[in-house]
Order: sequence, then C-alpha cells, then structure tokens
Amino acid sequence: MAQNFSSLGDALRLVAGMTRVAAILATVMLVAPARAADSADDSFERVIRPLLIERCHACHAGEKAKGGLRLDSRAAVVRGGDSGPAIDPGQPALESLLIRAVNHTDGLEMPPDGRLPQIQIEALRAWVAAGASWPASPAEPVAPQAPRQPAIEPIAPDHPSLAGALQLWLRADSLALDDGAPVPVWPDTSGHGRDASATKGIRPDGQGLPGTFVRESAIARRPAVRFSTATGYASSPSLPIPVAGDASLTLAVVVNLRPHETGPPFEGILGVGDPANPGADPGRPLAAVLQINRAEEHALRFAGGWMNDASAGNGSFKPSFGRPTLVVAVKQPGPIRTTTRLFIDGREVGPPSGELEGRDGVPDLRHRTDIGAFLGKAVSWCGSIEGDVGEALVFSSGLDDASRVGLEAWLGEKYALDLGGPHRAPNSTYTLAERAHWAYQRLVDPSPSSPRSHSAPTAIDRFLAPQIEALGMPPLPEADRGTLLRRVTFDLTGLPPTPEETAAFLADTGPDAWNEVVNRLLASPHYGEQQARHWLDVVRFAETTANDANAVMTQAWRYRNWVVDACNRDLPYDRFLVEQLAGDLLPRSGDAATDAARTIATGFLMIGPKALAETDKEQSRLDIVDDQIDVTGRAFLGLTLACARCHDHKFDCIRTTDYYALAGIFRSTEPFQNEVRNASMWWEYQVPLGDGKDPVMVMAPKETLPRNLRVHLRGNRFQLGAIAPRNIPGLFRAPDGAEDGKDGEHPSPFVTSGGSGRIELARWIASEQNPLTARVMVNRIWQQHFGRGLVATSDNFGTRGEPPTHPELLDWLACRFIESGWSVKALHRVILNSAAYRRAAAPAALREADPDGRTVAAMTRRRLTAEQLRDAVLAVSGGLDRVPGSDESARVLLEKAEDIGAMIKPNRLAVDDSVYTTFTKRSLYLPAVRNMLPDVLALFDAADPNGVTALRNETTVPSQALFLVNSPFVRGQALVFARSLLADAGLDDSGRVDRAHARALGRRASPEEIAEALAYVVAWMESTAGQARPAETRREEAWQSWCQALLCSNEFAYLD
Amino acid sequence: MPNVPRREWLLQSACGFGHTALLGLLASAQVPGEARAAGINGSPLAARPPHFPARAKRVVFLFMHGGISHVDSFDPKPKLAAMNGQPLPLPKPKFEFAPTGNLLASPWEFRRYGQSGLEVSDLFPLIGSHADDLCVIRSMHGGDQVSHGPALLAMNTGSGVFARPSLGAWTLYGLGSENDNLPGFISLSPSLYHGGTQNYGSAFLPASFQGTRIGDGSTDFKSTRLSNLVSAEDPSLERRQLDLLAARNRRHATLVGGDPRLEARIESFEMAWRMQGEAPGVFEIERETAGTLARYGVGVEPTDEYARQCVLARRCLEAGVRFVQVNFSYPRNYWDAHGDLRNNHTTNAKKVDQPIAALLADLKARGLFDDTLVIFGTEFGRTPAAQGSDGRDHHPHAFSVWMAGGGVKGGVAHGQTDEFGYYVAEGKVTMPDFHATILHLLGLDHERLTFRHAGRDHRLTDVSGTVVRDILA
Repeated sequence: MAQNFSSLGDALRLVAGMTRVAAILATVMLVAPARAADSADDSFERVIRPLLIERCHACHAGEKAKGGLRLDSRAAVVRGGDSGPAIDPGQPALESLLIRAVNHTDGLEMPPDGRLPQIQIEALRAWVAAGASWPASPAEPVAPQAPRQPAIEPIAPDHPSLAGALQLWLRADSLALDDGAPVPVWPDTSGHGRDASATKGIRPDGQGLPGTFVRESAIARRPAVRFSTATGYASSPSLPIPVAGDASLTLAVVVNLRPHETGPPFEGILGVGDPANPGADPGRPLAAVLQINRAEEHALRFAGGWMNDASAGNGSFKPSFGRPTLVVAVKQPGPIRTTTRLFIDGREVGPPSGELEGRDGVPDLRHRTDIGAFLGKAVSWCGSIEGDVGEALVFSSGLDDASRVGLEAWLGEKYALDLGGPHRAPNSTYTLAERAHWAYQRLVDPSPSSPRSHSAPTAIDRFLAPQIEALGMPPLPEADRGTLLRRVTFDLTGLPPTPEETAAFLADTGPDAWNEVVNRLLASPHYGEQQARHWLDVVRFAETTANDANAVMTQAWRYRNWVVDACNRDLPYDRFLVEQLAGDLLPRSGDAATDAARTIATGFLMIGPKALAETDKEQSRLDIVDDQIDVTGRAFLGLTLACARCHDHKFDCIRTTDYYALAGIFRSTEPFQNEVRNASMWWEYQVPLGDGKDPVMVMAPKETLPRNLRVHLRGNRFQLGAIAPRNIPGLFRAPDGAEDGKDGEHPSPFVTSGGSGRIELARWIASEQNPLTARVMVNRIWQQHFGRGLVATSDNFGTRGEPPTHPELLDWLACRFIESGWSVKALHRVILNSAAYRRAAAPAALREADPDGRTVAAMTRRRLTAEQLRDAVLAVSGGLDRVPGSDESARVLLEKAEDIGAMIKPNRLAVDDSVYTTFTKRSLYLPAVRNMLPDVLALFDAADPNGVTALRNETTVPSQALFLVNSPFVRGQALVFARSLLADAGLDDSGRVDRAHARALGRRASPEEIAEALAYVVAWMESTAGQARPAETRREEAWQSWCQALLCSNEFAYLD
Repeated sequence: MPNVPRREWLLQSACGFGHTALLGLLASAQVPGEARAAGINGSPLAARPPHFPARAKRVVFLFMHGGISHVDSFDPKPKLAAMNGQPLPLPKPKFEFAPTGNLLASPWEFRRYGQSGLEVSDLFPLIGSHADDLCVIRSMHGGDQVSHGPALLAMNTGSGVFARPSLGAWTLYGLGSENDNLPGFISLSPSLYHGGTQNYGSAFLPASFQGTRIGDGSTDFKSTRLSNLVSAEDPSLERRQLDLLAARNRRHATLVGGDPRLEARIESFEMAWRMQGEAPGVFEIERETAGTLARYGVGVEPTDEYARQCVLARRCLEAGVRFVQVNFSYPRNYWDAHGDLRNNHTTNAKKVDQPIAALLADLKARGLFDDTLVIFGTEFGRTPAAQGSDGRDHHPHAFSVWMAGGGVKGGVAHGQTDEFGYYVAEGKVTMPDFHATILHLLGLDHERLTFRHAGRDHRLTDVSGTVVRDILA
C-alpha cells in the first residue's frame, strides 16, 4: 500500500500539472518546430506552467515568496521581488532576471537544486521573448467525448449460437457433493454424456486419480474440482468428439493453478485426442493439448503430439499462477502452428518467438473416431497441473472473435475474472485544460495580502478585506452582544441561549468572553447534535428504505448517534470519513467498542433509499451502488460522479469508465443478506462490545467477493461494454501512463489488498494530497456559519459548480484544517474568531450592493431550520427533553410497523401521527421516515432524505403560517410556555413578559412591549369570545395566545 | 437578461421595475430558474405567464394506482380472444415482474361510442359516453419500470430512481397559482406508499411548489381534511393574535432596516388568514346542489368516495387551483389485478366510472372544460398474457392513458400496440414525451422550464421528451 500510495501521491501532483514526465515531453515537443496550430496559450499550458510549478513554485508561489518573488501570475512576475522585476517586457529576454537566474549568470543560480535542462531554459527564454503571455486557466474545459464503446454481450455455452459446437461441458457447480468429497466421475453437462472419469479406472495405462470437490474454491469462492499432481480425467473414447479433417476446435478452462515441480515438465491442462499414443505418427498427431511447459519459463502451449511438432504461443502462464484464470485456445482448420490463437483472461498471448519444431506443412489432428478429452494427469509420461478447475469446455469449431469474447465475458462474469484485452476499457485521457480546473489543483498555502487592521484583525478578515473594500462602504460594526450570543448558540448547538447564559455573556466584558462562549458551546453535548444534523442532510439519513416497502431500518439510529458522538468527540475528519466508508475494514483496534463503532459508521453505505421488491435484483443493487457513489462524490469530494452512469460527464472529466471503476468497488460490498432473493433483508449482525457488555445489532454491509464491473452502456445493464477495473477516477491518476501496464491497460495497482478497494478509496479521499476533500469540508463549515459557502455549490466543485468567491481563503482554511489534524472544532474556532462572523446583519444598502452576500461584508440573516425552529419552541416553552435520544425513533417505528411475518417490516407510521406532536426530544431524534416527513419538518424545508442535501431551501408559504397558528404542537407548547410563566410566583405580569422575551428572543422586553402584552392579555380576557370559560382558564389562554405570537414572530424565526 | 440572482431580482422588483417589463422578461427565453422560483414581487406562488399561449390553464390528473389493464379498457384486441389460451407468438419482454403464461382474452366487450366511434370496454360505459371528447394514447411506454414504486415515480416525477420534483410541482413552478388563498397544487388521497410524498413533492424545487395533501390512500376520503386549516380559536381572538404578531413583526422589520424576506413572512400570515377564511368554503362539497352530488355519485356506494374527490377537484379548479391530482390509491383502492382480473377491475371501475363521467360533464356545463386539461393515467398496463389463470401482471411495455379538454383532440386514439397489445407498434409515447406534451398544453416549453440544482439545469423531462403534436387540437 505504501508504494501504491506514493504513486497516488504522484498522481495527485501530476494533477496539479507538476509532472516531470509531462515537462520533459513538453520540451521534447518544443524541439520540433511548433505546429502552426499551436497557440502561445497551448505552449504555455503544456510547457511553461508545468515548468514553473515543478521547479519554481516550491519557493516562489503564494505565501512562500522567497526574496519577495512570486512566479504564479504574470503580474507577480513583472512586479518581481526584492531584486526587481523577474521579467521586464521592455527588455531583451536574455537580460531579464528570470533568464539570467536560470542561466546561472551574474551569480544568480536558480533553481538552487540544479540547473534546468538547456531545453527548458530555451523554452523559458522563448516565452519571455514572445511577451510572456499568461493565459488564465480555462474556465470551462470541454470534455471530449470518449469513443463509443462496443457492447460485449455475454454468451452462455448453451446459447443457440454456441450450443451446436459444444461437445463437452464440465462444471464443478453441477456437482452435488459434500465439501472435500472425491470426484471419481465428473459429469458432462453438454448433453452428450461425455462424463469424465479418473483415468486410472478407465484406461489401461491411466494414471489419474480422482480430484476432490471444493465448495468454496480459490476461484471466486465458487465450486471447483481440486487437482493434485496425481489427478487426471478423460472422457470415454467410445463417445468421440467429432473433430473432422483439418480440425477446428475451441478449448476453454477456468482454473486457479499453483506452480509445482512434480513429474514431467509438460503439465497438461485440457486436451483432446488419444493421450496414450503420442508419437506413433509425428506427422499426424493424434492429440492436442493445452499445456504449461515448465522447462520453458512456464510457457503456455497448445501442442499436437508430444514432439512440439506443432505448437502455438509462448506467453508465460507464470503471472497467472495463484489467481483465477481463463485460458482459451481457438484453432481454425489448418496446421496447429499457424491456426491456433491462445488467450489468457481475454488477452491474446503473443505469437511464438522461439524455434518451434513443428512444420507448417504438417496437417492437422488426424481424424479419428475415438478421440476424447482429457484433463490433468492422463498417463505416466504426462505431467499434471495442481490447483482448482472450475469449468472446462470443448467446442468442435474454432469460435469467431465475437463468440469467443462473448463466452469469455460469460465465464468472466461467473467467476469474477479480471479479464483484459477487448474486455478492458482503455484508460481515459484528459486534456491539460480539463485538468486545469481550479478544484483539481493541489492546495497552496497562501497568505493574505491585505494588512492587518482594526476591521481585519484575523487572517480570514484580511483575505476578505479587498472585496469588502471594493464595495466602498464603511465596515459594518460588530453585532450587539445579545444578537451575537443568539447567533453563535444556534450555530453551534441549534438551540437558543438560556436567559442565564445571555445574562452571563452580557456581564462578561473581559477579553476572553467570546472565546469562552465558543469553547463552552463546542464542549456542549448539543454541539454534536447540531453538527450531526448538517452531516445527516448530506448523507441522506433516514430510518426507512423508501421506494416500495418503505421498510423500517431499526438499527439506522445507531449510525445517527455515531455521527453525534463523532462530532462531540471531534473525531478527526479524515478518520470520520474513512470510518464511514470502510470502518469495517480497518485493522482491529483491540478495543471491541471502538471496532463496533467503526462498523456502525459504515451505516453510511446502508441508510440510502433502496428498492426491496425490484424483480431485477442486479438492477436494484446497481441503483444502490449509484446512491453510494452519488453520496460519496458529493459529500466528500464535491464531485457529481453519478452523472457518469450513462454517459461521460457532460461537464467534468469523469468518464463512464471512472464511474464503473468506482461502481466495482461498491458492488464488491454487499448490503443484502441474500443477493438473489426478492425482498431480501439487508445485513444486520451482532458485534461484540467487550467488557462483559451485551453485543449490539448493527446495520452494516459485508465485504464480498471483489469484482470488476463492465461499463454499462447508456447505463443499461444489458448493454455491457468493457471492464472498468476498480480504481479511483482517472483524473486523479497519473496522466502519463506511468502506472499503466502493457498495451496501455491500466493494471489497477490501486486495488492491492485483494479486497474491494473500499478502504483504499477511503484512504485516498482522506489523504492530505487529495485536492478536494479538505476544501469541500471547510466550505461546508463556512456555509454553516455564513449561510453561503465560499463555493456556493457546496456539493459541486466541478466546472459547473460556482467558482470560489475567495479561493485563497478557501485554501488557507483547508491548510489550517489539515494542519490541526482535521479538527472540525478547531476550524469552528478559527472561523468564529474572525471579525467577519461577528458583524451585524446586512443593512438594505449593503444588500443592494451585494445581494448574494458574496463579499461577506455582513452577516446573512438566516431563518431557523425546521429542526431549530421546533427545538427552539420546545426549549423556550420549557418542554424540551435535553437527554440525548437513542432508539426511541426505532421503537416508535417498530411499534407501528406492519408485521408481515418477516424481518422486513413496512412502515405504517402516518405523517400526522401524534408522536410528532408529543415527542419532546430534539428533532434530530424524531422518527425519520422517507417520503413521509411530517408537517413540522416538511413545511419548513427540512432535507429530503432521498438524496444529498447540500444547502436547504428557505421558502416562505402560508402553510407554514397555518402550522404555526393552528397546529396542536405549537399551540400545545405555547400553553406549556404560558403555564411555566404563570407558575413563577416570583414574577409579576410585567416580569413574566420580560422573562418570556429573555427566553424566546434573548433580550429584555421594552416598556412598550410590556405595556402591549399586558393590554393584550386584558383585552383577550375581556373579549366576549372567551367569556364562557372560567377566568383562570381564560387567563391561561390569553397568555398562551400571547406566547404563541412570540413563537410566530419574525424575530424568533430569524437569526441576525 | 443575464442570470439575475434571486435577491437582486427581488430588489429590482421592489424598486419599481415595471410590471409589464417583468412580464416580458418572464416570458422571454432567458428567464433564470431562480426568477421563476421567486416569482413576481417575491411571492413564489404568484401567477406568471407561460412561455407561449397556453391551451390549458389548469390540470386535473385522475390517477389510477396499481395499473389498469389497457387491453381490457381502452385498447381493444380481438386477436386476444381469438388466441385465448395460446402462447404469445412473440418473444416476451426481457423484463417482467413475474413469469406469465399464455394469452388471456378480455372478459369485457368493447363497443364504439359517439360520432368518433372510439372503442371503450364495458368497464367504463359512462366514460365511454364522452368518447368524442377523449384523446386516448394507446402507445404509452413506461421504460423498464416493472415495480409499482419506480413506475409511480416515473409517471409522477419523470424518474423512477432519483428524487425529482413532481409534475404538479413543475407546473406550479412554471405558472404560479391563480388564487392567493388556496394552495396551488392539491393532491387528494395520495398513497403513502410507492414513493409516497415524492409523488407530489417538490424535491429540489423550493417547498412552496410541493403538493398539499388532503387525506391519503389509507383513509376514507370522507373523514379527511386539510391539516392545520381549521383554527381552534374564535376568529376574533385569532385576528387579535395576528394583529399583535403583525405589530411586533413590523416593529422588528423597521428596527432591522427592512428586508423583503421578513415582509414576505409577514404577508404569509395574512395569506394564511385569508386561506383559512376561503378554503373551508371551497372544501365543503355539501355546498353543491343535491342534483350535482347525485350526478357524481356522492352518498351512494360504491361511488361515494371517488365522487367526493371529483366534486372537490372541480371546486378547487373553479377556485383557481392550478393542479389537482385525484388519486384512486393503494391500499384502499388498487387496480393491481395479479389474479381475478374480472372482479378487481369490475369493482374498481364501478367506483370511478360515474364520478369521472360526471366531472367531464360538469366541467363542460361550467365552461371550464376547454381550458382544463383532464388526464386519466396509471403507472403501467397489464400483461395480455395471463398470470395464473385469471390475472394479469405489470406491463410497462405498452399501456393506455387518456386526456381530454384544454388543447387536445377529442374522439381520437393516438398510437397503436401490436395485435396482442404487448408492445408499442406505432407512435410510442414515453414518460418524457407524455410530460413534455402536458407542459406544452400549459404553455410551457419542457426544455426551457429548468431549475439549477447540484450544478446543472434540471428538467421534468431530463434529457429527452418530444411533444406529441398529433394529439394537439
């Protein structure tokens, strides 16, 4: 992995255009006269920019401006550093500081770690001489459409197009035997009855003993017959295989073999003919066998007779030892040597190189009527293979390419083979323009160029300052302290400050008051609840499956609470994401509870919507994979990867091959207990907690047999193209083919563990080198605090996303985030400490000048979210149960769920169930039912858990008002609020009004407000409408009505 | 006009940007999605002009949950009777919900109606009597969606896989509402299953465009009402409370220097108040004459429930509601006849035939028919081959729906299936085509009605859809 990782690191550097290879390539291209079509911009992108980045930017870019010199923009180059301009467009190129430095003239020696190759110096000089043009990065790279891929249709051996030629079909999965039982006879399923028996029993000279049946073999854990070096089978000569005249035939075997040193060096795999009579007529061989020649570097050969008199192929079988392998030999009529082609895993084995003893003029296998088939050790002088044989087929014709590829595809699918050749999708290529998109570039660590000032005391403020100054308005003052406390308390805990907290903060005028408040809130258990809610929006959390059954996922709450807990203990974000993607695959920690939590974290992969009754199970699995790719891409990477399911991404450089490379990773992880059965239960299993505690039931996927998927053309699973080996998106791999194997095929070094690749994917995302991960997360946190991200499309950093308003600030924050050990709490502190966060809300003039709040010159006024509103109503009324929730939601759901006599329990909790009125824990802990969000959430723009919600809508419609005025929930809580005020004997009515303001709005009531409230209560009680009820009831109702108005007010609903 | 951010748009509106100019801009091709979301004067539900002159101003979508058999209702196949019990002489679809057997003749006779001679089966004699107004599409194709959930979502939102806004939500987003005091999109008795709220939801469109649900498929419609619409308070006391609230909100708005969003929220309480006053009247179907109620079949079984829905639908349309979906839905009502087709379809048809026929007649009588688009739809058809001995399975490969009223031809059948009703033979209409046509009739260009989400412009019809011009009157 370490090695692999460094190559990934390389890949990432390459993404940033820093490839030595690319630079060399580029300079090589310069040697040749530039093509007329090459614009200056092209050569800048291909040559100069990579060169500057590679050799200069380590010291002369962004914050690291040694000698005051930056070489990362034309302006900076012309401005120069302490020694003056690096280039002066008015001067001859050779006299410019830059060229003198790289030429090592005048004692200037740059780069210090070694002179540039002359060819690069020439390139720089030519560039400077031509005016040093410096094009901006292309804003919208246009993805070239990949060539249309041909469909590859898997063809089963008994498909009409093959069945006529099928003569022998041995399948281990047709054997009904106990694991480990001997297999004296291996029945033929071709319909011809050519059952293969151990040769010792059926041939006078037979040496072969029976193999043993293995239920879960080394071939995709499927059934196989295990061969020792003594194992050998033959079909009966009395049922000859009709190979006529200049015979054509096709042999195919699926094996997983081990090298060995036993017996003769010719190891027979599968042959036809008479093994007992080799050299009787060397000119007309009686048999032909697919064999491994140990004496010749384990060359794979197809030989007629035993004299090598006809032979084909010298490809070595060596790399195929120890892994499932498909070998196919196709022979057309004519001499073996010229008509045979050999294929290992779909790749054609090269033509023979050495001298072959065979003669092209030698005719073919002599027509015999007693010709049969044999496997492994047949007779004394024939060596044998050792290992597992899953399937062996003989056809009495040489299959054409389409049929062979179809058969290979069918076997490849069945045995999860890593096929190559036409089965393998070619590597995607990306233009420099595509790679140049800002978000794919490595993080730089810039420093703010604006000076520190009273209005810009922190680095954040200094980054913001230029755009704010450009507005030409005086800086906004800090918000008043009550407003600030309410703002930060909701932001960090989702709850209003208590009157006591407000009073304490107002009274504390010390210099650390703000930091103390921030620290207190970050340490509050309610912090995790608020932070988790943001994350649960992104990861589409719910407790039912949606779609058909909308079944209750009774363990989903554990994932929800894991997120709360992870936020509260500030689990480093890199670990946070790795545990969600692959917590089950991490090395065991030695602590059972820790391991259990990591498994629970993978609920991330399980909580998405899923169809249970879909008849096409594979389709439903692929839909789940799509959901997993979508959420992984948008949550962690800000990439809309799922767009590439049916076609190459229209705007970003994500190809369908990239999509299916990821899909293979997720497809190799199984969410369902039964992959085949309709309406299977998803995986739930017990994990121990240790310390004598009872084990807990968790919902988590299980790693299954790794497999690569074929590209599904236009997303259609019946239109399969080439295989896309499991991998990260090609954009982030080496662009120069450095990792590629022969024939431009990517060998997928990414997946080295032998597993699905999920853990490698997680670690790649969590890497500091990943250009997206840290940027995406710091942007989310920024968005939480300002209502708008520096990148407004917080789940899309692609070319169709919004570019960052403050790219340097984004990178600076990302660097601080990584530097802090990916601490989200530390990131909050950095942001909350800025003057920007503490500014007053935007006045009208500013809103006019900057309607979207792009400059961050003021705080954006925000409405409480659905959950914050509900929680605030409960908190203010005194009705909130602040104890963290656990499985209450699951229990409510289970209680109401329909019992259909199965593990699967369809949800029956109605949207207007009373639980939504009576539940008093925080909204986070409410039952989360897909497609059935209650009014209290749905009306107020809560996240729809069917997909990723990056930023909530904020709509204002009358149905919200109707809910606030008429719903039993709000009316009920207003009554609780009123009663608690009235019950406080230490207060008079004025005091009650004041207290209510403190609780609901975080401020004292004004004398006018007190007078207004008292008059309201009196008038309400005196109105004829209420006269029928006792005075005490009417008083309570009057206060209830007044309290409800407070809870309905804009001041309550908005944060300034 | 370049992309105008929403807030700037609002400010411009507030700053006296001429109303006529606004109308012109909204009608132009460059209207940004956000502007349509914000609407005129900042109210997302304010009525706005279509892209081009509309043939229909409002929609009533009669949705039949479970899958009505096309070959037993609107797509006559004599060959089925001739080959009853024999195998289908064509390959069966690659995807079926479950294996089916041999061909099964329809238990119902078809007869010709009206001057057009359009054929309708005896399941729907009363709807048949309106044949000259019906435009039957016999060539619907639902893609590969063989399960109810995805098929329902595909019909109602355009996608069986992804969470997408519903047809009604797109319509409201495109046109706004004509009545400030009522929801613009109402779904009566929607099923809580098979996609549930997603079938009338707004997904990534602002929540203002989501359908307002009245009742659900699990509850007798008679006992349901719009939630939170009825005040527990004496109106005079509630008005007093709203006045207090308004006073507080105005002071607050002044204090913070004004903000259109605060203004909008102040107005929303007033609108809620008006809605509370008007909506209950609209929703009281008892205000209809006894004769009208009787024509629909209210108070009589088995029509009572669907009749109530249809009467209410008409009252809503009349009051300016843009889109009403009248669901006949699971679990209480369900066309899913895997077995005993005859009984299932007979029972269900008797519940809806009279109310629907009465609705068509009533719309005509009130002059609403010509600019109301009536849609009768289902999520898929049923297999012409038998499931078991007397049932039919799900069949998205070909099925029938019909439209009537605003802008569609009457007395015609569009498209054809093969002689067994298995596959579309001519004039295929996919879900995107169907949706594109509906939007077209409403004066909306399905390629221009877009909303920017997750970095791209989304459409109801995603990347395809062609208006079925043949059926336009």
